[in-house]
Amino acid sequence: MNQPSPIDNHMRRLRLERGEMSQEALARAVGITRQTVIALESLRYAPSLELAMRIADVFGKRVDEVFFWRAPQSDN
Amino acid sequence: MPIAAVKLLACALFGVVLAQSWLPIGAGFAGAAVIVATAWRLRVRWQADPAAPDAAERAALLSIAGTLVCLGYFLTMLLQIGPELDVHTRLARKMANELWILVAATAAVQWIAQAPQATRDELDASIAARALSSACWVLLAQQAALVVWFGLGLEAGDPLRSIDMLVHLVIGSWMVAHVFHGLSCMRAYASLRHEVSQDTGHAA
Repeated sequence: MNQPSPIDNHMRRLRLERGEMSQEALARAVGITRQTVIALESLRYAPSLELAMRIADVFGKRVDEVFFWRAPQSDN
Repeated sequence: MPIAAVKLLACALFGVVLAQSWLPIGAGFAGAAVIVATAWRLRVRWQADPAAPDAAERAALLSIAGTLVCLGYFLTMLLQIGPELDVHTRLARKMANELWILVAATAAVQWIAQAPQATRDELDASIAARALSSACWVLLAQQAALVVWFGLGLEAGDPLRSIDMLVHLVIGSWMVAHVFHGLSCMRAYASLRHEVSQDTGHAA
């Protein structure tokens, strides 16, 4: 869990767009813990496809509108 | 993390103290009372803290603390009983009874200090799976050491080489593996917390 996940997301922005939705409120809506929301937003955890779909569903978006691939930065 | 290590060491030392024969009351009930009181105190503190650990982290923390108390008591009692371990002696029966009370208290605190929303999700499952894997390796290493010790390290007439001793050492190895499982979970949660606090400048 030390390497940031290459799967980035717009979760924080989408939360704020939905009336300052809190991490706790999102966690409850999705059925996960706040710790997992924090881990996802800080790219410490890559969600399963099912979880990604559930999160996208809460925001009323498609999965690719919430999650996207971010190429890992090379050290070279 | 060093503070957590000291607290966990204190749990094991508490188990050692419980095994001392000069205690005026039964070790099981005394230990259970302290374990339950501590869990209640944690429950009150966690209820007031919005950044309190979630269900799975709480369970790991309480489980490891309770198991360390049991392990400290168990190993100290084994040393007191000595190499000619006989499960039919009064002391051995006392150890078994007291240990069951401590195990029951460890199970009860899971209910006392559980999170209001007992949600466990795939991140918890992922952490638990990795912890289980490391605990399995610890268990295997202990069993291998036991096999070598019993098979090659002890003479035929050695009083340590008894079925009773082997059974109790295997039970002890389960407890040690369980502690490693909890430690591995706690390490993963602490790592997440640390990384997030570095990212955002405040604790999760």
